[in-house]
Amino acid sequence: MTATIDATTSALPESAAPPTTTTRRRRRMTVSARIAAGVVGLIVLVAIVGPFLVGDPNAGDAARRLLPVGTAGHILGTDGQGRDVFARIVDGTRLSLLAGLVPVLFAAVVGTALGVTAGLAGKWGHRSIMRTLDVFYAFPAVLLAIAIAAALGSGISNSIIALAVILVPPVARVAETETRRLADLDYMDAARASGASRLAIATRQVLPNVAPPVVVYCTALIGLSIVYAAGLSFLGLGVSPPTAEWGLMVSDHTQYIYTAPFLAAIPAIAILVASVAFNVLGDGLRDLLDVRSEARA
Amino acid sequence: MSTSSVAPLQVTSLTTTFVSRHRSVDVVRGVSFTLRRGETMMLLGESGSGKSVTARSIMQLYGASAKLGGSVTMNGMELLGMSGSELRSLRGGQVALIPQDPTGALDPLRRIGAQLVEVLNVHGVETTKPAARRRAEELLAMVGIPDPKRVADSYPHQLSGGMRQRAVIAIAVSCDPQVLIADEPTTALDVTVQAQILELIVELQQRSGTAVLMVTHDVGVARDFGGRIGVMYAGKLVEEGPAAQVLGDPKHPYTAGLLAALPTPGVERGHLRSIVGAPPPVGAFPAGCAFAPRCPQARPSCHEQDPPLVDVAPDRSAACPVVNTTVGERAA
Amino acid sequence: MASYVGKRLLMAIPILFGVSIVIFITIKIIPGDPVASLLGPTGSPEARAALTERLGLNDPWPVQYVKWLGHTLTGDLGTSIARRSDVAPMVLDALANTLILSAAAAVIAIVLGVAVGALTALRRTGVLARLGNALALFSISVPQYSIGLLLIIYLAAGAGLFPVSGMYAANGGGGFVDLFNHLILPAVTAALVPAGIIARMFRSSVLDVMSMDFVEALTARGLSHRRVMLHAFHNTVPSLLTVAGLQIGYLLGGVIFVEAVFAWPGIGLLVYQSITQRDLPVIQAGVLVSALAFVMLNLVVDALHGLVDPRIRA
Ligand SMILES: Nc1ncnc2c1ncn2[C@@H]1O[C@H](COP(=O)(O)OP(=O)(O)O)[C@@H](O)[C@H]1O
Ligand code: SF4
Ligand SMILES: [Mg+2]
Repeated sequence: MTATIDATTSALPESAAPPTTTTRRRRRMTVSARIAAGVVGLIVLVAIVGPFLVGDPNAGDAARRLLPVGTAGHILGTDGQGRDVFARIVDGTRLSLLAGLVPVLFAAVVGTALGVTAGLAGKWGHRSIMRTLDVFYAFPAVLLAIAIAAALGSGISNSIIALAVILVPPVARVAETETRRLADLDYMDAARASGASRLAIATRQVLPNVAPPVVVYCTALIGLSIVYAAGLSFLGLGVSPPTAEWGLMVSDHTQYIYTAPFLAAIPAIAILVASVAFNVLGDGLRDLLDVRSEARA
Repeated sequence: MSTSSVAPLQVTSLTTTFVSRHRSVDVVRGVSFTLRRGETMMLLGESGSGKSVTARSIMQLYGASAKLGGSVTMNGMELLGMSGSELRSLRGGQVALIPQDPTGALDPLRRIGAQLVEVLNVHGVETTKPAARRRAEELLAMVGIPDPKRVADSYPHQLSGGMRQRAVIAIAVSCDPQVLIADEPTTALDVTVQAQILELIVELQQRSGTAVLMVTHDVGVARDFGGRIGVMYAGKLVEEGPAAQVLGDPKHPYTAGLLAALPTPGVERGHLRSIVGAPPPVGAFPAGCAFAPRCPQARPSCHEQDPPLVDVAPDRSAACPVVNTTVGERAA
Repeated sequence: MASYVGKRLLMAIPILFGVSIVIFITIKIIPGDPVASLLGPTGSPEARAALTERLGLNDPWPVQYVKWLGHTLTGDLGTSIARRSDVAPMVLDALANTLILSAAAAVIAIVLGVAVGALTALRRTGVLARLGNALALFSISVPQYSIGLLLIIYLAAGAGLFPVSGMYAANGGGGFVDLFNHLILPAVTAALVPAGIIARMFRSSVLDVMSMDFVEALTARGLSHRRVMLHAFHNTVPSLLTVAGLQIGYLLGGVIFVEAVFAWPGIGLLVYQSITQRDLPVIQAGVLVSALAFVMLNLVVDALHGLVDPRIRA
């Protein structure tokens, strides 16, 4: 056969074509998934323009400390140093989102590359990659991130690196599983028979089919990553004060738990909303793309 | 018809309607037949014609998801509307099921012996564990398993498909049922094993006088088995009678089509694929004769009136006025 | 069965080897000069050179790794920078406390997760099912430390029902009841996230099993509904074990926040305090023993898995 890969695939009978493109049911997103998509959009918007819209998040008035929610001029009240909580939540959106998002983006790229490579490699290549990744599964994930972040020292870039490291293995597993599944199908044999190089197969045949499950998985992973990132800040491993960031705010507000009990709940609710939104969006995308559900990290 | 009231199984105008929140579909639409002691009744038809649903409706395995109508009696006792505990002692006791796939019919986490012992205990056949265990091994030997002790101690995944189906049969006959319902018991098995399993069923039937309701979509199997046959199409019996006569001289175009689909003897068994078109999907049965869209003899009237099953010869009935009048005309 | 467990044990060895390498790497990536941080700014050049030699920092990395591994295997986990004492006993005490908390949390998570999962699977519609699903989603999205805070606020501080920190009361405490009282809030907090995940997984596993043919086949054998359900639930145990095993890992990681909030004297609190003091030997030792405990627990889960599922024993 002298046809190019593209010609080969288009000439194949239906049954031999990749199932993800032919038998996938086209469905609509559920209402809750659309709402989640809206919330995610809103969060991203706030992260981009929010800091320009609110005043200085670090401007505090010691005379106006711990004002309750609903105070005129301070919708969400003020914190222990008299800083406006609303301004800090809005301003903190950018960092909190980035700290959760960037590790997932990194993990998506590296994890997919590793997973696809392992899936297409021979027995030994596959083993060495997957067994190495197994080592990371032997650690409680959060603790490993803490160890790495602690070793690197505090700072948001170190927390991002630490989270990226622990998120790579699960993404790689998803990509590897999907690649192996594809490799068993006839149409891959057809591509191989047509003399396509491994790289060409990986980029043209495998990637388009591995992408949907990885995207679905990573969307839900963002929810988890936001919680983890805020957790690292909470422990003092992310950004340093007085920067506004949700996890750090929870930790900061905790000291006033008996005098202003609701204060610590506000940034926690922000984390919760962002995380739920990404989780529900992930579920919605899974239904939409009809990807089989995968175990969570 | 007074003898039929004591038949092991009598099914009269059985209807099965699956009800869900959004819609209800009629799958079995008035099936009647009588199964006498030691007799075999075959249900033959393309896949999707409602054979399995008929078999499971007799045992009332659908619970609240299906509404049953008509009547099912065993030895004159009405089964429809029975209480849960009465049904329970009946199932596995007087009427037993051999499903198509032996792998799915066994609990994968329990040893074969334990599953047999459980049934024997539940039905009070053997009340002590050691006695039940002994009986379990006897049963396994009876269904032709050469090393019953080892098999009793095995888990389902450790056995071959044929051995698994033998074990399932051992469970089914463990409480001496009067009626054995076998739903395509060999479809999931290797060709070489299929004949052995069918022989085993015949052997058990002859030994204990069990009445067998055998579901199949394989004309070859139907021919081998003998007894009576009911040909099913779109939830109804379209022809019924002694197997040799029905298969030798069909009185309904659908039966004739099934037989025509058979390749010449000696060649591989045909699987009823060569009638033109596909059977109608449940919930969308056409008005009139359901076979009309595919029937080479169809007339305009066939699309309007649904022909009832009527006697066409001694001991035989069919649901096609067209063919039966032509038969009659030819005879005249 | 014995050979199955033996095989698992053998497979754990390369994993543990990998774990040790990862920990060693985290030691090596620490920016800054460990000698300076140990000696402080006042150390003389001679003292610095002596310490560098004593710590083996002049050796090539592989040699350093082998030496470090030797120390670790003989129970020498180094010296705490902040407390100037042996790390090993400190970490082992903390590990015991963490295991108490994790075990309690695991029990709560499994009971709650199984209950909610079964409920939402068996009654697919209705208010209860929706509530269960919402709870499952909520619990996997919520930051654990904030649940802890809410529990403190409303149950401990507000209603005064439970003590809010520590493991035993400072005065007159001690006994099992005292421990139980201190345990309940952190255990519930730590359990909530894994409970949500177990609920979601268990729900789909119940639905899988209920759609399997043998459920109908068992009914056809004349077994009662109760007995059929027992068989069905038995068949959910293997996948439940898998999920529960994964969640133990989550617990061992997640307890750090819970311990920090409730001042529970476990690995998490130790690591949390060491972060602020930049006491890296303690952090690494804490992570190392947690990983060890995790690998051991996974071995136990695997063994149990083999016990309940004959199919994987072979
Ligand atoms: N539990 C059920 N609920 C709804 N529809 C069913 C159910 N079981 C079977 N059916 C439908 O009833 C029809 C007949 O099925 P079945 O009796 O299994 O056919 P067969 O003759 O091949 O055994 C099929 O179209 C099937 O889709
Ligand atoms: S009634 Fe008409 S359509 Fe139906 S089988 Fe007879 S001839 Fe064919
Ligand atoms: Mg069937």
